[in-house]
Amino acid sequence: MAFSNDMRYLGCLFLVLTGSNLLAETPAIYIDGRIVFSTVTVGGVPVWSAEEQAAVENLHGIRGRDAALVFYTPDNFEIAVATSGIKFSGYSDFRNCVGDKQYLADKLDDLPVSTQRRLKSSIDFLRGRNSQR
Amino acid sequence: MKKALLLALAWISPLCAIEPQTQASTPFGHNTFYLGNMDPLITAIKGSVQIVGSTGPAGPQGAQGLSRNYGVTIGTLGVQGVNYASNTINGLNQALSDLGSSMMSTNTVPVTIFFKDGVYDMTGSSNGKGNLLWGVPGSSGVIFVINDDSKTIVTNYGHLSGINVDAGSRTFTSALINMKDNSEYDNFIIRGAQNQINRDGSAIINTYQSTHTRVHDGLFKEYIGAAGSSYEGQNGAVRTEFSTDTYHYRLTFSSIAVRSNTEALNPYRNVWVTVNSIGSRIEDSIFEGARSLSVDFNIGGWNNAAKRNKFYIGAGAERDGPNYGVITLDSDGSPAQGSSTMTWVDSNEFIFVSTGPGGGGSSCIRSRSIPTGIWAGILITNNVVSSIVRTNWYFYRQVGGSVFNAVLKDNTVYNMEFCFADSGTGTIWTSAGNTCNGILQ
Repeated sequence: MAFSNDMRYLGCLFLVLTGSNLLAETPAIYIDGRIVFSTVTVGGVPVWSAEEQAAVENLHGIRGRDAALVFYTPDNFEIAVATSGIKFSGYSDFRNCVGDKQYLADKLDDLPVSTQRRLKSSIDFLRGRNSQR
Repeated sequence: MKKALLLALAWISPLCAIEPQTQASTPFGHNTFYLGNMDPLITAIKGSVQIVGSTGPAGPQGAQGLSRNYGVTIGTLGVQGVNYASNTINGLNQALSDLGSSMMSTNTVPVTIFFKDGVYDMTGSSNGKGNLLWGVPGSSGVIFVINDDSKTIVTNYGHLSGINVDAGSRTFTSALINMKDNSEYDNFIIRGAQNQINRDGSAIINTYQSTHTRVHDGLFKEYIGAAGSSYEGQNGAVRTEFSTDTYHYRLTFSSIAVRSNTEALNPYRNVWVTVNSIGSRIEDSIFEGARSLSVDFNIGGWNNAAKRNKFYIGAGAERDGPNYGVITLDSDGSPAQGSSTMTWVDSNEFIFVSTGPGGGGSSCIRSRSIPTGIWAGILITNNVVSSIVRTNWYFYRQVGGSVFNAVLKDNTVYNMEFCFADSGTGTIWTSAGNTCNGILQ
């Protein structure tokens, strides 16, 4: 019985460790109103260009830190929210929209009428996806 | 008419009279006034040395018997009209000994010692509590030099004014000037410090485990910074560690060298840095040729501030831009990571003087906390960025780690490719009076 519990624990740990980058949110940054995803992190630090990757790898090397690359692919819902055309007040606003069903519903409801009319198709799509979460 | 003038003079003349007992002329060119009735003790110790002491009953409690010694002059060998002629620390030590003063923090006999123009090897010297070592303000004539790269020139418990330093392009590994509790250093020029070697505590001016220090009205020439340390806060031109209320103002950092493009990326070239300290200030200062890590708020700090500084940013400033900004708020300190809070970056000017600078991720202000240690509370207000042409930089950039509740308010950014990039939690940028290239955010 004890062996069985251990195995179950190890199994869960394995899933968490190996699948973390699959389940975790994709690293992104808010740049002047736009959300830009990063597809790779260097020792946990997201980068957006080869030059940036080299600089961060260099710094990790000097520090003697792990500079392992972890690759990410933004999921469809993240992309849908990021490219919907709705304005985000910052990175936290975007993250809350992706991670909090009620937050996104409220934000969509609170958009100005003109924005709701202009972005009707993408807002309807988001509402549909949001309700399925 | 003449009669009226004479009458007027006769009327005001009593107002100008000053009791001889209540004033004494000092070598500063102004008068020192003593409280109460004086019973001056004037004793010639050597040459023109004078000790003026009060044995009177008046004055603040505990002030009886205190004395202030002044007028001791040191000159280099062969100089006439001085009390001590010496090119080395020996003259200073002899003067302190003769006056009954000391070079330590426990000094109870404050003295003023003047240095005549000349070059003095003051390796390993110390300025005692309350003592003033004085050169002519604005003069470059009094120059302290060092002959041992591992030693400090002056450990300052008192006040240095008008004392210049020439590091002579030496590969020094220590702090040239060490600031101690309640010490002050002003009206100076420091040059020849471009070959500073990395070592923990290596700096031009270092404040370590001290409080209430003031460094101001100084000019730094020919500084590049040490490379290859273990973490950013180990060294710098002006460095503060484990200290409180350290004020640095009206400083000019001139001829700050940028790293060459052929040099390997190396981030550890601070100009002004504070580590594990509270109330460190850099204010009203000028950074000519500013580049990454001109100002580094390193690990474990709070209530630190950079206010009303000017950063002239030229070509080459972008080196290691992805990791560091001109002002860096940095909790990425290994081996010792520490969290930081409340740091205020206010009313600074970032002036791009070259059309050349550019590079992935370069920023005026960079906050980071990689991999551990958090920043909770960054206040960035009223700063201005100006560039003649559109420049491939960010005004503010935060990537990775844990930065919480940064507030950016009323900043004005002209001609930047990007104004604001952030992945922190709870950052406020929009609806806070910030403008980016003419657009209210």
